[in-house]
Amino acid sequence: MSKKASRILSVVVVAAMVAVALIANSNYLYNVFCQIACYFILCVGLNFITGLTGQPMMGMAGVFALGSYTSAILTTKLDFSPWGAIPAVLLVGLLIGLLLGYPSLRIEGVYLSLTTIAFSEIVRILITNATDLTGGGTGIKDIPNYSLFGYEFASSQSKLLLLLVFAVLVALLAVRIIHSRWGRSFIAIRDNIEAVPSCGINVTSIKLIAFILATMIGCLAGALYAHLFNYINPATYNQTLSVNFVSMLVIGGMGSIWGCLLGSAVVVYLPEILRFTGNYYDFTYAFIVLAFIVLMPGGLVSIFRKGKSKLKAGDVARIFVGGKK
Amino acid sequence: MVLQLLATGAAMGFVYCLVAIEYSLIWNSCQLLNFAHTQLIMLGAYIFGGTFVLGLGASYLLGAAGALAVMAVVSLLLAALVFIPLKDVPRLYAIIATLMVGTIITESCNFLWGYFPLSLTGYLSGVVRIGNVVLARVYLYIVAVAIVVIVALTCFMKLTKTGKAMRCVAENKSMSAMVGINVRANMMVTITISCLICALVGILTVPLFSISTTMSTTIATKGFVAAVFGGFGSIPGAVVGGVLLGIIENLATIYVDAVYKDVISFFVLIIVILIKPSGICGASKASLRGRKTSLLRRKEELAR
Amino acid sequence: MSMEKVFEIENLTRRFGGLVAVDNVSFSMDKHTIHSLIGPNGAGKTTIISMINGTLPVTSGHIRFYGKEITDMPTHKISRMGIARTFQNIKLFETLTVEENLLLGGDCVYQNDNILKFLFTPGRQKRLEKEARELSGEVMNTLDIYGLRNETVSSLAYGRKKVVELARALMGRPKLILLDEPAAGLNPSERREFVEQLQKTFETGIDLFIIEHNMDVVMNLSNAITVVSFGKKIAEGTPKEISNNELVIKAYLGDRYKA
Repeated sequence: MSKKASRILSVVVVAAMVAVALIANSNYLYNVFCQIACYFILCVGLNFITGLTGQPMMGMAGVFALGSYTSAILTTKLDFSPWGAIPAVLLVGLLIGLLLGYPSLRIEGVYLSLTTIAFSEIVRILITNATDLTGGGTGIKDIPNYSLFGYEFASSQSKLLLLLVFAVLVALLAVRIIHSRWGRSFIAIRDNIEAVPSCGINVTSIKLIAFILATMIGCLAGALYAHLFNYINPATYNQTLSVNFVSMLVIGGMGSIWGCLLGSAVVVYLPEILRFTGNYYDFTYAFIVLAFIVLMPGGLVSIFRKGKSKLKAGDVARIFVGGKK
Repeated sequence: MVLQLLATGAAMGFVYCLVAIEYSLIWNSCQLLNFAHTQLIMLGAYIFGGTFVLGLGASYLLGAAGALAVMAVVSLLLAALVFIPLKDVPRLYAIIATLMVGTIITESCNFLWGYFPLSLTGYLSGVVRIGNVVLARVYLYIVAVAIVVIVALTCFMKLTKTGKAMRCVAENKSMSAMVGINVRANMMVTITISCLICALVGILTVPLFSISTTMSTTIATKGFVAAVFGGFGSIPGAVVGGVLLGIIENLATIYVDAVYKDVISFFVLIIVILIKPSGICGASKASLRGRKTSLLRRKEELAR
Repeated sequence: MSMEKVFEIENLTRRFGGLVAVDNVSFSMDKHTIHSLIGPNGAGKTTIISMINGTLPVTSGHIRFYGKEITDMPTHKISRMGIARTFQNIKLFETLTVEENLLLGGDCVYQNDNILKFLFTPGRQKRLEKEARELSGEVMNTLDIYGLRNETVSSLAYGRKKVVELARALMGRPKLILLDEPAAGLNPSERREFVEQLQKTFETGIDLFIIEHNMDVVMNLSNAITVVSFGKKIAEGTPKEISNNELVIKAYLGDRYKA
C-alpha cells in the first residue's frame, strides 16, 4: 500500500468509526467496538516487540492486568482521578518492561516466551490471592469513569468516542516510531540479528525499547479496559487472553498497524459470529486460527499487498505433504 | 519437618523433570516449543482413567498400557499433521499453532469425557512411612518410573542407532540428511517418545490432581522452568533442574504462604536467566559457539 | 620510521574447547593501505576478523585500534569507533529496502538521539532523517545502486547484495572496513566491478582489511599481505615478497603466483 493510499484509508476508517459511534444507537455494538478499540491499542503495543522485533511476548495478559488493577486500585482506594492514574499506569508499564525485559532480552527469543508466560501466570496468582488489595476472585467494582470538564464518559457511546481518540493517538505515535530509525532497527533485529551490532546499534537496548513500548502501551490499554467496564476480576486475565493477543497479530499480519486493526476486530468479533456453535466455540476458534497460520502466514493484510507474501498453491502442498521450498 | 518437605519436594521434582524431558526432546528435534504438552499430559490421563479404567473396567496396568498405545497413535498423527509441517513456519506462528492444538485437545476431552473432573478412588492411594517422613504412595511410583524413563532414554540415546541419529538431528538437520538419516522419520520417533512421556506423567499424576482439563497447567509451566533451570535442551539438566526446583519451592513454603509457591518458581527462572542463562548443567555460551565453529571448521577441512 | 598504525594485534589467541583456531598471532596494519589476510580454509581468518570486530571474544591477547584498546569491547561500540564489516555470507536485512539497509548502517552516526529526545523533537528528527537519506543517496550514487533504492533486498541478485552490504558499511563513516571474502560468489565481470568499487572506496580515505581467496584480487588490490595457516602466522610482506615466499607457496599458493 502506498503511503498516500494508507493515509486516505486511515481517514476513511476513522471517519467510519466515528460515524458508527454517532449513529449506531446500539449499546451492544458500542460495547463490541469499545473492546476492539481497547484490544487494538494493546495490539499496537505488542506489535513493537513481537511483530516488528520478532520476539515472542506471550504474557500480554499480565501486562494488561497490571494496567487495569493499577488504575482501578488508585481510583477506587486512593481517590485518584482516572486521568491522574494514567502516569502511574505508564510507570508500572515502564517497570515491567525493565524488570522483565532486561533479563529475558539479553538472550535468545525462546526465553522471552517462557519468562513472559510465567510472568502473566504470577500476576494472575497475585491478583487472585492478594485479597485485601485486589478483592481476590470477586474483583473490583464501581471503577469510576473518565470525565472531562465536568462531562462524565458514562454512556457506551461516549466511551467509544473517547476510546477512539486514544486509539488514534496511539496509532499515530506507533506510525511515527515505525517509520523512523527505531522502526527500522526493530525490523533489522527480526531480519538478521547478527548484522545489527556491526551497524553500531546496541541490540539489547533496541529490544528493550521495543519491549518497554509494548508494556507501557499494554498497561494503558489495561487501564482503559478497567474504566470501560467499571468492573474487573482475575478470571479475565488468563493465559488464553495472552494467546488471543498474539493471535490478533498472527491473524492480522505482523508488523503493520492495519494488521493490528484487522486482527483485533476479527478476534473480538469472531466469538459473536461463532455464537451459534455453542459448546463447539473454542474448538472452532482454535481450528480457524490454526488454519490462518497454516494457510495464510502473512496474515490478513497480505491479501491487500500486491504480489509478495501471498499464498501460493505450492505452499499449501508443502504444508500438508512436507518437504522443502 | 524440613526432611518431610525435602522428600515431597524431590518427589514432585521428578514430575517436573519428566515434563522438562518431554519438552526438551521436541525442542531439540524440531526447534518447536510444544505448548500443547499441557493438554497431551491431560489427554493421557483421560484415556487411561476415563476410557480404560472407568469406561472399560480394565486393570490399572492394562489401562496404562492401553493409554500409551493410543497416545502413540495420537502422537504419530500430531507429528505428521502438525509438528513436522510447522518446522518451516516462523517460530511464533508455530507456538500459537501448538497452543491451538492444545485448545482442540481440551475441547475434545470435554466432548468425549464430559465437563466434570473424574477421579479414580483407591488408585495408587495410601501413604508410606520412611523414618519420620510420610510420603504418599504415588510419589514412590513417580520416582521409580521417572528413574526408569531417564535411564532407558539415556541408554537409548547413547547406544542405539536411532538414538544416536536423534542426537545428530538435534545438532544439525541438513548434515544428518546428508549422512543418510531419514530426518522426518527420526523426528516422528522423537515426537512419539515425547508424547509417551507426557502420557506417563498424566497417568502418574491422576492421584495428585484428579482428571480434569486443568490438571496439568501448573506442572507443565513448572516443567518449563525446570528445563531452563537445568539447562535448556539437556536431559541431565532436566533431571537436576526438576528435582532442585521441587525442593526449592517446597522449602520456600517455610517462609512464604503456600498459595505463593508458584511465584517462587518464577523468581527462580528470572534469577537463573540473569546469572547463568545456560542453566546449571548447560554448556557456557562461548563453548557452545565454539563447538559449532569447530564443527564448521571440520566440515570446511573435509570439503578441502 | 614507523607509520601510524590502523590496528595492532598482539599475541592474539582464540580457543574453541580444545581446538586452537588462532594461535598467538601478532601483526599490525599500516595507515593508508589495503591489507589482505590470506591462508587455507580453516586457518582462522574469519575468527581474526570476528575478534577485531568484537563478535567473538578473545581467549587472550590484545587488539588496539589507533592506539586504543578495543579487546573485549562490545561490537556496537567498536563499530561506532569506525570499524565496519561485511560478512562472508552476506548479512543484510532482507525484508527492508536497499535505502533502509543503508540508513541502518548510518543511524548510529546521524540519528543518535535517544528515544525520548526522538519523541519530543519531531522537527529535528524530520531534518535528520532527510539528511541521512540524502547521504545514503550519495553513497548509492557512487556505487551505482541508486536505481535500486526502493527494492526489497530479498529480491536482489547476489552480486547486488554484496554492493549493498559495502554501501551499508560505508554509511557508518568508518575509518576501516573489514571485508570477509568480498569476491566470493561473484562472476568475473561482477568481480571486476566490485574490485573497482573497493578501489574507489579506498581512494576516499577508508582503509580496507580483506580476507580473500582469489589471488588475482589479492595481488592487484593489496599493499600488504599477512598469511596464516592452521591458526599461526607464517608470513607477512608486500605482494611480491609473499608470492616468492617458499613457505607460503608450499602451504597455500602453489607455483602459479611465483613471480
